[in-house]
Amino acid sequence: MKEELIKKWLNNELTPEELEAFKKLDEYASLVKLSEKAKYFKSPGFDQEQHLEDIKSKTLSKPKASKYQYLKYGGAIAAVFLVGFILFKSISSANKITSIETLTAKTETINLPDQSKVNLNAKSQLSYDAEGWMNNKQLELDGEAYFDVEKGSKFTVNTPYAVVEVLGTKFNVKSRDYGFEVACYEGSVGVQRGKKSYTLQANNKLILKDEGMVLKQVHTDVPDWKTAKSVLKSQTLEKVLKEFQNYYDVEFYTSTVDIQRRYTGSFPHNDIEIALKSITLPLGLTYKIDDKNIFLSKK
Amino acid sequence: MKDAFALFKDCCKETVFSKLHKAYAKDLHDFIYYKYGEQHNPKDKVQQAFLKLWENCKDIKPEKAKSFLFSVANNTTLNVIKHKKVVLKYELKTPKNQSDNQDPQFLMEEREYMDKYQKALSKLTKEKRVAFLLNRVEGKKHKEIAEMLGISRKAVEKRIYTALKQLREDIEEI
Repeated sequence: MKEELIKKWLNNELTPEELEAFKKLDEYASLVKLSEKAKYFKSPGFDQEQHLEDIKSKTLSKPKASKYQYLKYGGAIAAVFLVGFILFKSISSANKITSIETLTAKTETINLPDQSKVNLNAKSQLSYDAEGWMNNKQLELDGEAYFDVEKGSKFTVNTPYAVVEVLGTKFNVKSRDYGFEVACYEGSVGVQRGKKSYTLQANNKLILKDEGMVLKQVHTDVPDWKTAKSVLKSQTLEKVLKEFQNYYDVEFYTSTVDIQRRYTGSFPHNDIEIALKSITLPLGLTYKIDDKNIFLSKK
Repeated sequence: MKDAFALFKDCCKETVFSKLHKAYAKDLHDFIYYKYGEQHNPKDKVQQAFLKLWENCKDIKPEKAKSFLFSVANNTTLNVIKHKKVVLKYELKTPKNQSDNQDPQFLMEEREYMDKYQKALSKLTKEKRVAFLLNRVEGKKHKEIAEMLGISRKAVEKRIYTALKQLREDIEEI
């Protein structure tokens, strides 16, 4: 029993009741001290971005753009710089990639060089070649974004799951590690996944399900996240909680509940109590908040 | 992560390579540091592993990159290691708000405790030390450590638990 409690504590799996029992152990104080003091041995800082740059400078450097191009696209570059000043932005020295990243619960609006607008949802990253935009109209998206594209403008959105091609339209791409979907609100978009291509008309969406794409209808004018809520249809609790963590900076403890249960419903992005109730009540669960830790349990 | 990479057949695309670096470089660095200490320059080992990955990018599927990186970094470190004792540095920071804790007696005891801790850590096996510190210092879950080391979750749990037990016995001289 004692060993089990300590092992669970080591993996942050204690329920509130077990935590009480753990606190009553003789060795409680000494274990907590050991654990706290371990932090003094923390490894020296590791600057991931700098480290990657060092590797790239050894392997991946690309030819730089000519001076003539600088003049020609100066306006476009200036526009991008203006947008960038409030954002987390890094421009790699090798090929001038502009990269914008949002944190939990933050969204950003980005104007592309061709005046198209992108709304970047929370915990997402968008990068593109600002300098060579006219020659290379490609965006890399990791996360979720809503695109409002200028008429006549054409570009491509690359995600790990599929390539999305657009021509003057409004659409949303969601590319999370737990799911992929493209929704079209105006015009049409092309989606290419592996060898298969799809054309998506307005008011339709494609959802990746068991390796195949499924076509569904869209009933709103803008994606749900733009109205500060998430709507989920028959999703596992595991995915629902991952979606939740895009908007609230919390950790979930779910050792006593079945995270494979399906949930249908919605939750708001601006009120954590209502959001938690929206998820737990229909599933017959309760929650307990302890700072940034949320314990889920059966009622 | 695995799902997201599934579309790419190798690691030769720069975006894939950058993503792999973002996902694994820090973990790999910590793994080498906690296991072998500072004298083997963990940053260089990580760099070598990623350069190897780039050289062989055509033959490696992105979902296999993680185990490739970890075994390359581990092996290149093993090749140079001379079974020296690993002594990890610690940094004693006394929190400012606990001014009543600043007295010399307390500081001396604190330093004594940390010196014992340092010795006890160096007495642990490499395998136990790396699992314990990744868990306690970096806050990694057992499952994540299991994936990093390529062993079962149960084995990780056991390593961390026995490391904790040994450290406690050693430091408190039970």
